[in-house]
Amino acid sequence: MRRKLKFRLAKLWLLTVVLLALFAPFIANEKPFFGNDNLTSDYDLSFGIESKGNNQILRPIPYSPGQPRQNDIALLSPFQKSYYTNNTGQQIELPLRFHHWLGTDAIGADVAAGIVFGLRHSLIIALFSMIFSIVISLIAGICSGYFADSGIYLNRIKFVSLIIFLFLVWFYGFYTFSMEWHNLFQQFSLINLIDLSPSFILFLLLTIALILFWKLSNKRKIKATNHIHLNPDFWISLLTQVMVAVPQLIIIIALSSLFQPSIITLIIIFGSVLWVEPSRMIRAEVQRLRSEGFVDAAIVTGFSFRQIALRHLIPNLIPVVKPVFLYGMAAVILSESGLSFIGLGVNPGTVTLGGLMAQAKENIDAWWLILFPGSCIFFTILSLSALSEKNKS
Amino acid sequence: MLSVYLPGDALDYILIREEKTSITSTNYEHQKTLLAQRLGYDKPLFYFSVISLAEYGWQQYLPSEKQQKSYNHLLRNFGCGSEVFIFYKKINAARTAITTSFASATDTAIRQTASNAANSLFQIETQVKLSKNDSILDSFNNYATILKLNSLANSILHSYNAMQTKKSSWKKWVPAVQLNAQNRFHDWFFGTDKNSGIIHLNLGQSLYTGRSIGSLLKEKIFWSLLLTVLAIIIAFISGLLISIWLAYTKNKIASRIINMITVLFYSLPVYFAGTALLYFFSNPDFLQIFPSSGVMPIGGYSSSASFSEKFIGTLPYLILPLICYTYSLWAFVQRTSASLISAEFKKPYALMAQAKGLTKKEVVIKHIFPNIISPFVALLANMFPAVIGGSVIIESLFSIPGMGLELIHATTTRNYPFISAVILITGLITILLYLLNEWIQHYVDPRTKTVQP
Repeated sequence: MRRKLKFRLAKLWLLTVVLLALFAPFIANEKPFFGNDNLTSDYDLSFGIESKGNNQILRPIPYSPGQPRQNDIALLSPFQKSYYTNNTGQQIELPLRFHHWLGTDAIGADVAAGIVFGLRHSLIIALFSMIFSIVISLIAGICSGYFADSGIYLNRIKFVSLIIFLFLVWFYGFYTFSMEWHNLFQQFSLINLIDLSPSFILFLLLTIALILFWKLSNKRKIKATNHIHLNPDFWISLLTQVMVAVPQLIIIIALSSLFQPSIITLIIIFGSVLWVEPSRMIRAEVQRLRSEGFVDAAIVTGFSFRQIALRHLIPNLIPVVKPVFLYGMAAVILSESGLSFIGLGVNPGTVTLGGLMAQAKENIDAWWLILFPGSCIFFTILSLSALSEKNKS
Repeated sequence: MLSVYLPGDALDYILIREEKTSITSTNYEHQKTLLAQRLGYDKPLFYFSVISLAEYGWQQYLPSEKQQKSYNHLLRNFGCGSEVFIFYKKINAARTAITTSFASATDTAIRQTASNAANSLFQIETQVKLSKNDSILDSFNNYATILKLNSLANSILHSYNAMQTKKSSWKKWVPAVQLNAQNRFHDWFFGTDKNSGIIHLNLGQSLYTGRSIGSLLKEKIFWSLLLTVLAIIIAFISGLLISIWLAYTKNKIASRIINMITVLFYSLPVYFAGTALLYFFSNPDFLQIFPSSGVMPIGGYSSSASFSEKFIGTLPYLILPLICYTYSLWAFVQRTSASLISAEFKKPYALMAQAKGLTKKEVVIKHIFPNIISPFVALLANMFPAVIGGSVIIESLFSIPGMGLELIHATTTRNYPFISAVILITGLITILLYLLNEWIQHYVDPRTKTVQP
């Protein structure tokens, strides 16, 4: 009974967090729900409207994240009354509707709005990087587990032509058009796209040539009995051993020094580092499944590797992947906030939970900067790991 | 607030911070090129590079990324290396000449024209579209006639025309492999002389301070290793003892409390706990028991201070970081050892021992404990990388002058030699620990020995 309560609480907390993250711009925003859009970002005006009794419906948290308050001291505790200095220099106490319920941070932005948006960023990064890493680890784990005993036999001509194809795509598609790609990333416009059109045409032509060549080689015009033997298990295990040897946080920090961290780069960095442990687990599970009868039966029936992997292996891997996914999300949230805490996370413009807590380092008296974001992270991680535990057993 | 969002690369950083060169000064690019030559940053990355035939042999180091890109773009599109090289050099030289010679001109109109002319040349140097070149050169011609620099403009135009007549853009489509005898990898691995390079156990120089990374690491790694090793020892011993005690105790309340604490500690973020500890125990308004940052009193110790004095002086600085290091590790150890012991209890030999009439305490200590040592040692080797990684956050929180803090500093200043050295060292330590682990396993658990046929 107690265990059930625990899981229900965990689910409830996660549901609130997800809802907060989904509707963050609707919950914490200085723009009112209805009315003039120009009346934005000016705290002065929105306050004026409230007092005039216009039919403005404000958001639950009438502040945007990271927007400093005007005409007021920074760093307000939740119990301090906030004042507002109007144009004539009068100090007016703010109505309860505009109270900072969770205080303000060092630049005077509302902490509650910061937490809502920080949760949104954390959850986006955690979810997408875990999807990314689970996809990589599924591919790596299934390839290495499935072919662990026998290795894989590849048509030599197909293999070599594939490598040549990849090289040509890199060279003609990317290298010779590097300036055009650069322009496209700098400014996305039609002219820049048209400049790149030869590269797309070349890519199409190359793909058609490759497919035709493969068809030709299938027709036994060229002798294709020549096979090469590859052992993906060996190479993937080598890669995982190299990745395991260096602490993950240090790899992440080193990578974030190479690429300017934004939400997308962080997703890619986390995804490309965190696939190692899941892939090892998936490999072991695939090896266990491989020895069961149904895979052999599928092979005898004439299914291809792709069909076996998609229809038989992946559905059986779900009970393994699910707890790993939840636990990995917790790990990503933990290290992402840690990165922002030491100042290496998402660029300083965006509000993150770790960034809010980092401000408490300099203002050690500001307990609300430690307590609220910290407990948000804490409860999220606690409930994620509780659910992962439940899925495991 | 620290951030990686710094403009430019590492060399910019050194020039501005260390050599006090202003980014607006006229010889900034020259200074940067010289610095790159001194540090070997103008060399290609590896022994070979795959490029197009147009660039073959004509690549050069240019101070800014934009210039580098557009120079390669020019090379690739015109295909005549020598002409493009001459054209580019001419434009660069003309720009520097114009900016330096007209900088102190008395007539503001002339100064304006000169800056316009230099600007138009800079546009060619960093252009993104070749089609704009003609119009830019035209406008430069106009400026040059005002400044009476007709011969300069003519010479630039001449080489531009030469470039266009010798244009052979087919070269762009031919891949070529360029072999580089001198490259940065070679310098890093084998060194330029007999003292540098990884192979001579020299990790290179810190870009930021110019110190050798070896001595820097030797100094910094002490605090990191001291704290990590202490934390691991404390966590493992206390976690093991407590889980053994829990296995045979009948005190249900205590075991429930400890289990709850374990779960809480397990998911408590280090930075949350650390800042909370700082708030409670090193806050002037609350309780100021421990100092908040550093490892020794401000000003350091006098040279005559004995070891015990140093130890007693440093101890209060280490307690809060040590708690941060230890608690999550302890929770992990406690949790895994409890599950290991409960798994062992189900095995027949434990049942047999109980049936023989031994108490639970005797069973745990005499029979189960020897059996869980071997997975435990494996756990220790696996934990080490995570602890080293976690040290980055703790060190930055308590400003301990260890490897983690230096790593953050290196990241923000783009001190790549230091970052690669840290990765190398931690990887090496981890591999050594894995080896040590296997070696210890042989002693602890003779079953793992490979049998000689």
